Amino acid sequence: MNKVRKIFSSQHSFFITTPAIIWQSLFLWVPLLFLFVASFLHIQEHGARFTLTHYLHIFNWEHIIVVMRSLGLAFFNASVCLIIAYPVAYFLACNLKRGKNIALFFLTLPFWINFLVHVYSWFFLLEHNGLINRLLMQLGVIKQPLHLMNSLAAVMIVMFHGYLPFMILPLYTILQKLDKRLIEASLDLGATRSYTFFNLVLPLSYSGALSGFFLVFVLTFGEFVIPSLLGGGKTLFVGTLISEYFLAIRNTAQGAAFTFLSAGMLIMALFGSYLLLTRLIKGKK
Amino acid sequence: MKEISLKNVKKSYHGELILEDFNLTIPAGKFFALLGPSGSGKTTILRLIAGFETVDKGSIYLGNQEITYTPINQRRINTVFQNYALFPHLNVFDNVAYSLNIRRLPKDVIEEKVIKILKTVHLEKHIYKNIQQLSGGQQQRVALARAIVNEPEVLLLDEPLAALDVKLRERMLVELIDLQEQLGTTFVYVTHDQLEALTVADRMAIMNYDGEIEQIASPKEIYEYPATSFVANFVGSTNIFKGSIVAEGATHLIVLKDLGSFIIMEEPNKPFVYNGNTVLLSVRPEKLLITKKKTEGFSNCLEGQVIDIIYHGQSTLYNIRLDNTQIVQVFDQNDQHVPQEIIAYDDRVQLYWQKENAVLLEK
Amino acid sequence: MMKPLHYKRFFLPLFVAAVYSFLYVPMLIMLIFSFNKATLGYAWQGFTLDWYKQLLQSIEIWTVFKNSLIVATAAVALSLTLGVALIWGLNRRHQHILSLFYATIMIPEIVISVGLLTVFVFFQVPLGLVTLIAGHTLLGLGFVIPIVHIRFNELDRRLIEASLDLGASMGQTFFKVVLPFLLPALIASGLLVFIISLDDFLISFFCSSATSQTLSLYIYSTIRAGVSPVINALSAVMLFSSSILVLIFLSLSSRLTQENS
Repeated sequence: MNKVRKIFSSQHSFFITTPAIIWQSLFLWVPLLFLFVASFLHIQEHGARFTLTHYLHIFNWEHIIVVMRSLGLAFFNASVCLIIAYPVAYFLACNLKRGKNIALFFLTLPFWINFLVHVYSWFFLLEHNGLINRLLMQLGVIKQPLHLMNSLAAVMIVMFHGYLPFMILPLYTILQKLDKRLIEASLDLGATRSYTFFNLVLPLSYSGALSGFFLVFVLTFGEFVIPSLLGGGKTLFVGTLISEYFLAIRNTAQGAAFTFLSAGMLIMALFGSYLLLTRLIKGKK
Repeated sequence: MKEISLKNVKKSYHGELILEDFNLTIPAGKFFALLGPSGSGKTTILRLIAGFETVDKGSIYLGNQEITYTPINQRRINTVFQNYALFPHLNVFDNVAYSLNIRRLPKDVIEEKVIKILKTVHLEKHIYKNIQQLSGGQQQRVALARAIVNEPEVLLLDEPLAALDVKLRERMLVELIDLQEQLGTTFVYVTHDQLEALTVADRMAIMNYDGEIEQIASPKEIYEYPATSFVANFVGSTNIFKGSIVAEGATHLIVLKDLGSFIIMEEPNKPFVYNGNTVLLSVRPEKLLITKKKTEGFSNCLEGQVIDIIYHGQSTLYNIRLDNTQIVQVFDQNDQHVPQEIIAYDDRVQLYWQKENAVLLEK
Repeated sequence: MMKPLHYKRFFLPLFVAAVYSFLYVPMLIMLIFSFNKATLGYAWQGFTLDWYKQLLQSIEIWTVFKNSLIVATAAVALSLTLGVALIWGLNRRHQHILSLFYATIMIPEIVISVGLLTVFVFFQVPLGLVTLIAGHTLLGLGFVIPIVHIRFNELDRRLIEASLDLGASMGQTFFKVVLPFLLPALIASGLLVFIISLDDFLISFFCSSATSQTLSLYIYSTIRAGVSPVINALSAVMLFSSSILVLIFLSLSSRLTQENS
């Protein structure tokens, strides 16, 4: 074993490990550092000096509303996804006896379909002449077509549609590993299926729920495509505003400041959600 | 006190037929053991009684009440699982109190019941510990406590001692017997270990590989008077001989091929024992006396050569090859420090037995 | 007594079926419309394969597809090579370095994208396929490293000892013993990176040039104007190819987990 250890720590291993580390640093850490530094710099002809003006500029109600809006949407989306995903994951992991492979296939498929195709597919339903409107008009429920396409409603529906699989899969994974005999034991001791779910399954699958929630939260928060295509341009979200700063306005420093402000608020929101969820699922006693 | 009966039960699992037209009545208030090899369907029977599986055909009764389609949580039957199935996120107290919490009993009542039951299983020092901190034997007792705190009509035990080491197992068996006597609840104990079954059971059933019951009786009856050669071989060990009956007047003999005729008991209860019929003769190894000397006073005698001597401390197992090449096992208890007779390899020995100690079997 | 059918039993399966339908109805509709003769509007005007023909003949689409393919393949190759090299060469003492790579998944992609853009612009790196490859490889590493690392930990170290004991060098041991063992994880993560690169939008949006459009960007710019029948056909084709990739991926990961049980 000594020989193995010596070879592992020999010189040449240094050369094969560093490329990946260099890559990661170069394309992730350096850019982040760059942005961070840039957000504090005031560029002038003869150099740059430290300043907080960029942060002060964006610390106004207009900017904060954008971040709050994105946080609210993220929290709402993650919560709805969690509530809908739990029964589905539970059914697939615990109740389904046959056809699991097919169910798993259709569960995994959405991840592998181009996100833009996902969003585009809603055009047919949401457009003025789209299916939803036509159906509702034919049924006589509405007289004029609903303005669905460029709206907050559209953004919310498509966000939910796009990210639901991201919540179902981690839940399914952890519920799969649950010892089914525990459920049998609970029923054997007189519990109903719903009692078993809330008092046994939920506490034991808590980590899966948490990771799914955070995943959907973060992804929804930074989402650009959906608000850009379906949001109508009037209401801004974090993703679209950052894009504005860097591509349209081209104000790198302020954009960087805004990015870090949003990131900071995101972390705080995540922490708050963590506390909330933990109390909800585990703190029943 | 209620008995359990299964009537005409049919059950297939994953396309494989496990039980067909199966009937069983488990008497109330007794310690009942269900013994059989792996795959005999005994666990399936337990799961059907508990409600984890549903019958394809037939019915299950608890006393006079049919419970065939009653949901698991409404039967007054509790299970002790093989791997305990303790809830990992709850401590000992909460595990045991689980069913009481469901019934929403007042907190002080729950506490009283839980502590009392934990004292009964000698776990009063571990009440608030986490499950992971307990040893196998302690976990098993928590599972037991959790199941009986509910005072069920029937307690089902699915090979509960399988994961414990031998010494602990022996101790737990005695504790289980005491517990059953104390509670008076019907215990249904499933195992493939015949020693366990013989130890705990008031009454036991032997199942074979085809999901059929070979015999139901008390342990002593099963051991001394097995109904079939399967039972004779599964519970303990035995020597089986095949021969034909000669029953004329007062004499009752069995003629074994190449070995001669031997005296047998008159058995009016066994219809298959009649003149000319081929039957099996079962003689248990401990019923044979092994000696080199000619001895008087025994009904029957066989001669053979010693080919194996296996020392077991308490007893010695001999394998004897008879003159017709059949191998016979003999247990000899080592009741003396210095044996009066030394039997060695290749010795020619006599095996004596009394006609009352042999059993005639049909199949 | 007949087995009673509790109506409540159907609530959950029905609910799950409803959720699955919700997930797939939009795409099925789009699929149907890819065969629709009408260019505008949503009325059904007859079955046609014209859009698919247009799809196959569109030089633009083939170009962007080629670009996407180049970037994806390069990203897979690079991230696999770099990732495996890191995991193989990493000292037991320095295992914590791997946690650096878990950050990629946790940081919102838009932040990564604008960071890359800023750095590229600052150092006057011309935007194009190369910068895309750089960014996608970064994403890829974030997936390759966790997946391959887990698989690597399952390797019984005694196999390496046995190989050395029989006279092989460390390098030979790597290629003959370690690599074959890692293969399912490599293929699985490779597939994953491939599809992530193909589908990626944000990094491509920020870090590409007019000449280095990818498939996602093309779709984006086209559908901003509204529905396009050729995009329907393209989407249908992408749906189909994704299904095949998922099948491969699932059979691989089931083989991986089967080995462990």
